[in-house]
Amino acid sequence: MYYQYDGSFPGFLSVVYQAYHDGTSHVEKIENKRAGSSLFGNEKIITSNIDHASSVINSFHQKCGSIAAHTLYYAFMAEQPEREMILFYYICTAFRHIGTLSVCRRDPWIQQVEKWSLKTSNECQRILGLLRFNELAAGMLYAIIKPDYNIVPLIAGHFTNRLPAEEWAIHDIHRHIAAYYNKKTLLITEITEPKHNLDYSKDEQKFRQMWCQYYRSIAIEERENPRLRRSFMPEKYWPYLTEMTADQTLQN
Amino acid sequence: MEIMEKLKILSDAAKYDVSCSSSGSKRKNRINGLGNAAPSGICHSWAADGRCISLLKILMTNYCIYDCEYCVNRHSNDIVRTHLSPEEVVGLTVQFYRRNYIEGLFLSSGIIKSPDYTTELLIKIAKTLRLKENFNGYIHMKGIPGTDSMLIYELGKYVDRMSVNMELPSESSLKLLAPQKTRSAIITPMQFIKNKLTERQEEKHLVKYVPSFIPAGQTTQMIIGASGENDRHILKLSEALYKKVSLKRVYYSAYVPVMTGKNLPALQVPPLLRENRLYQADWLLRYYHFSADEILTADRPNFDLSVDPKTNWALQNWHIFPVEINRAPYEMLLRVPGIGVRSAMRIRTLRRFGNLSYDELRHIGIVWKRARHFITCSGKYYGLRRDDPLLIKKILLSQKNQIIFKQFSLFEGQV
Repeated sequence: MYYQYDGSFPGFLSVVYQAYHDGTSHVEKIENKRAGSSLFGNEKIITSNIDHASSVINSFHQKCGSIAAHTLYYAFMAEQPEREMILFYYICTAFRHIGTLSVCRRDPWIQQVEKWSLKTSNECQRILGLLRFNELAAGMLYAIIKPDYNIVPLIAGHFTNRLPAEEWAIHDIHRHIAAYYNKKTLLITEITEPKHNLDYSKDEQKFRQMWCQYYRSIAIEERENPRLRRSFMPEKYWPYLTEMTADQTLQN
Repeated sequence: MEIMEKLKILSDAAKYDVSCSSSGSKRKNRINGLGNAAPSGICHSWAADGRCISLLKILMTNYCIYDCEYCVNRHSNDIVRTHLSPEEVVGLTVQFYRRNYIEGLFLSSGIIKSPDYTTELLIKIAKTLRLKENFNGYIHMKGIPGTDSMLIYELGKYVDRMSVNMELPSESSLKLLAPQKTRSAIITPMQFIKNKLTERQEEKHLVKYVPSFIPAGQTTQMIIGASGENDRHILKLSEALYKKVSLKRVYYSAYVPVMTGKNLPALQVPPLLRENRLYQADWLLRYYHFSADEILTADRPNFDLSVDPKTNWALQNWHIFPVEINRAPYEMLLRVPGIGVRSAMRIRTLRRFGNLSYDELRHIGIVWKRARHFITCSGKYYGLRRDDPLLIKKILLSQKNQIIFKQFSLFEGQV
């Protein structure tokens, strides 16, 4: 059986729900619809169904534990090619070995899933630190990121806890999705038409400069170590860091 | 003076403070306040020297009545002096924090008038941040030696972590380099904080709500290489501090020769490698069940700078090795060079379900090129020399320095 779904996590879980009812041994391929249509056209198209999805994830969480559920979600968010069948295998294995999933750690596919999950959570942790908000004229905080994995939904919760009294948005310019928080509710949405000319608040430039100044003066020259810095803070993140783009003024 | 200028001077003066961690506190965001603390800590940036920037590390003022010889802010040094007002500190912290530049504030200060007076100013800043600005981010403040205990207690209510600096590893070098500071003035506040923290632990069982007091514990810092103590002395001191005043961390700071003084050593570069070895040994103390006496024995009081302390220990205790990975107790696994806490735990879980094979072992996350000389897997030894620790040391070093064994030249000595 060939399945197609919309590329979202609930969509994937709906496929799992359907596959469970069709018989898991018949699953041959699960495809992301966005990746393009398949050659034969005989696939079952599954629309995402929140009830189905939540029943799968709830029972997975209940039976296989929160660590396994966390691993599954984070590994999915790593958005690796061909992830669906491997994750499907992970779910089946976890249900088969309830309470003893750690036995399966020797399985290379399970290891693969855990590796993906680890990569995503590492990047989450990194971005929590490396994300930089800029204050817009209306007082909203706006951050641009370009992460390797789809982490915007994963880190948004951290900022709702941290900045509940602020209006803020985190924009993933690679995937065109954003998390927006309006002091009450969090919204994760697609951005189809990004706005270019942003008005920054009048103090923004001042604080940026102060931060750059601080960044420069806190380093000890005698201990300079560019390699160490790069290993902690890879250069791919630099274009979005206030302190590394010190010489550029705010682009409007 | 412009605030920009002040920021430059006072952060520059604070850069020799090592500690910049923001971990250990679970402070929650109070209703519509600003910020919270992340228990694991978050690094926000890394400076050009590769050290992480987690907190806004700054001095309240660089005026100082003390004249410690190693310190840039010493009384007799001719530098520009300035101070930040409480409003300026608070404003900077809040604005930086909102923009996710920092995880909180690390405020230290030169001593003006008296330790008590300076601490009162620090308390004022901490109070403004917590009560007026409703700031729940991380605050780390310096406990100043010689401060009254009640003031320390008052400050402790608002901060997450406090640190009283050891400065130098022995009483005699304190006397030589920082004559106005004494060992007892430094130990007393540490001891006081420790007692209060234990009291709190006990109270927690009895009452539901205990007001906050330094939830992330206390740390200290000492300068390495400015005085003549050997490594064993320093490590024993750290061990005692961990045990007796239950510090969270001891920070070591390689002495950067910025000052010249008659009692200071004439160094060209800071002893960075020595500092690194001390940190490695410190980790062995805290996470690997080592004791200071094992790491450095009385007849070898200094580190072998060429290999890390754990490998060094293993080579000196060669009769224990190699250990069988499928049988060795967890504590022994921790002592194998190349196996860390995580991989030791992973080995412990996996071997419950059957013997670990070579292939599985390779994928478990241990540093194979180091560990293989010290272990057997199902009885088979994968290292190069089972009988000769000296040769193994050579092999490890040649791998590190990328020197492959030199091939004999047929025409040696000829041009």
